[in-house]
Amino acid sequence: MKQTLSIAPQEGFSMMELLVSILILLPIMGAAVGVFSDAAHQHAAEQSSIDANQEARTALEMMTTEIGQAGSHGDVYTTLTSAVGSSTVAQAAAVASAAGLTAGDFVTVDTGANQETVEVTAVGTGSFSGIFRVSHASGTPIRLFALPYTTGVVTPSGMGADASTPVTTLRFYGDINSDSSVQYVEYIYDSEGGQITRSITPVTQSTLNAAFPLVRNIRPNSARFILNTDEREVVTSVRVEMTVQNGVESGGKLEETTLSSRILIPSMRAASALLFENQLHGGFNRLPATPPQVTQWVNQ
Amino acid sequence: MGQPMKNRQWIAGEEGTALVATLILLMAMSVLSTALVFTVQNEMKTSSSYKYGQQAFYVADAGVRKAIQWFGDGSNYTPAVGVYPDLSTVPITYSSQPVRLAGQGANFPVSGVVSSFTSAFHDVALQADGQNSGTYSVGATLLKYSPASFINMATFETYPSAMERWRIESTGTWGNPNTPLGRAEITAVIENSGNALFDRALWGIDSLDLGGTVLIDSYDPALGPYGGTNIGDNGAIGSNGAITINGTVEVHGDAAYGPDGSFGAPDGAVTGDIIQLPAPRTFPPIPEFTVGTGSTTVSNKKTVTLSPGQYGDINVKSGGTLALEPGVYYFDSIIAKGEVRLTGDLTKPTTIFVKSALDLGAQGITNPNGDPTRLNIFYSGTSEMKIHGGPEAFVEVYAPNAPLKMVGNSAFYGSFIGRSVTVQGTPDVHFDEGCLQENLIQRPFRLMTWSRNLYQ
Repeated sequence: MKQTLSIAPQEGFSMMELLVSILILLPIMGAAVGVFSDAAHQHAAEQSSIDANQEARTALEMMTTEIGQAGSHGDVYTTLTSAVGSSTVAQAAAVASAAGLTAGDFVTVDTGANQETVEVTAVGTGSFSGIFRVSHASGTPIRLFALPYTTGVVTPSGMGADASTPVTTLRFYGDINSDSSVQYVEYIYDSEGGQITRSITPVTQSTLNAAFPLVRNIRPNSARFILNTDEREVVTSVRVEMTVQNGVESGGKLEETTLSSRILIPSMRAASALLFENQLHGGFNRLPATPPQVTQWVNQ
Repeated sequence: MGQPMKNRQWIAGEEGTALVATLILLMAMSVLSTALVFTVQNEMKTSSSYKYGQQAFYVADAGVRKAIQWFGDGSNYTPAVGVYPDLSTVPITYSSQPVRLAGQGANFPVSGVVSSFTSAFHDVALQADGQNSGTYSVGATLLKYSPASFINMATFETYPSAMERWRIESTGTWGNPNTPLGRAEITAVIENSGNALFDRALWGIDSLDLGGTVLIDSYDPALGPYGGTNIGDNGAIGSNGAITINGTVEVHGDAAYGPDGSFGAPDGAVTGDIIQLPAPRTFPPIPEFTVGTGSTTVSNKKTVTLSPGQYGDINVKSGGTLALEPGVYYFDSIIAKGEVRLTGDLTKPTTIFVKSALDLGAQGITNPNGDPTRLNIFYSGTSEMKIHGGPEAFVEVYAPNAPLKMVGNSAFYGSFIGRSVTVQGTPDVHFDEGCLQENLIQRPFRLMTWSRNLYQ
């Protein structure tokens, strides 16, 4: 009995107590869950927005770097691996490496009295073709002291001097990777798919590489590339604009961020200055021609 | 009874679930808050990294711009002449090491230039404000060295120098250089160049008129004399004004006419491009020079040989020969109905300055050297200058103030510039492509290519 009496008051809550406590706690918990749910939703929205911004910002940084190197052209140093004789017609010359050489380049062959400048008419594996007016022995140095391309950013037909034109496909080429190889790059804005895709292909290749998404979640009709030409019709700057949005509604609408960047292109400015001097002072035009593959891809 | 009651009271304080619920809620909110804090922190770090990287990039780019400016200032830098044993290597070497300025292994042959460059480009601080600063360091490597002779515009004499190509490597940091917040590397290639004064076969500053039966083309002296397979299509012509072509004229080269000028020619007369110049080309004035006094007459069947120096008026009668030894001459006038020819050591150059009148319209000038860059005529007068061609008429003529008339039925080899140029008769003009390598007007160092190597 003594033991029973001591336990009896600890038998738990009565039904009434439980119902009352549930009744009191229910709205409190409901409110708390609501607050928590809102906060979680807000967090998800913020995270999504940050992810979208981050992706767009990283992409814009990449675009800034790559577009900034449009028209650049790296030097190439190699040697003849067999002798070439003088000729008035183009012939193939075997070299230690033809990497980095592109049709339209002007290479300096040899030194001293036998030095000459040869235009590269074609590039093969371990060889290039051109007209050698002077004979050269095996081991002769071949040097490409590269000049920039005036057409490093491809303009839409009809775009003239001192003009500003928006495009949704940006095509440019140059030593994008800073490894002396000329790469062709395409950024294509797909408004319907809400993305910008990127493809990069060496100009020594015959077919274009596949494109992959670079930025997603772009608001429809919000992205464009604005090309700006100078008085010699050379594109010296490009402006990139886009508005990205996250997939979660906040306050009844999708959160948006607009990013834009005006990218100056130093190599194209240098090419334009050289073109000006070339027109004014004559002499040999050593500015490289547009690589044939680029012309072909642009016209596809 | 006392003990159970005590227990009951102790347990009664734990009635309900408010504390538990509060704790659970607090924990959930804490987790959420912590996640938010980390998210925001990450975002801030990313933003800061981007910002600092950008600032470091601009600092590195400032280093490149400063380096271009430094190289272009003749008081800082002039190419070292005649010191590199092998010009075929890339980079150019000196004492078996790549020629470098600044940084480890600085190897430029002139120590004063090395120390000047190092003090200008080693850990240079750019202060944005009291809290923010960046630092750049620049190194340079010599990639190409081509000996060249440039014209001194004050004297019209040439001096030996070189056209060079340098690779500039600039590293920029933002914040403390030892523990930078951002870092960027830029590589740029710069070159100094020279534009040839004699860059085309014919330049009529105000106008160019071609009539009669004229062929204009080019040849490469490195491949031998003009003719055979050594005939090129670089016989360009130009004018800041109008180009007018009549008669049977073939121009195997480009034709460039002035921004406000015009071009008129029969179809197919020009094989190259027809270009409207983006701006008028400027031509340097011939510097003032002092001539001698008195006059010298060379009679029929007589030969008078002159040494370099100052002379007054020269009159060469028909059948007479004026022979000039290599060197620099200053004449008041030359009126030649007879022959004017170079003599002596023809490997040496000859430069002739004429002040008030110049007529070589009868027999022209004979340069047996075969190299027009070895015979320059600078005529500063305003009265018409006449010149006749010939089998050894290898010459460069610069008459920026006078009408230049090229006459006769013999060829010219070289390059010809006049205030206006008229070609009559049936003379051919063969542009010597070697003219593009001599008498260069020096241009400052400037950017060729630019690339961003590192950005973080």
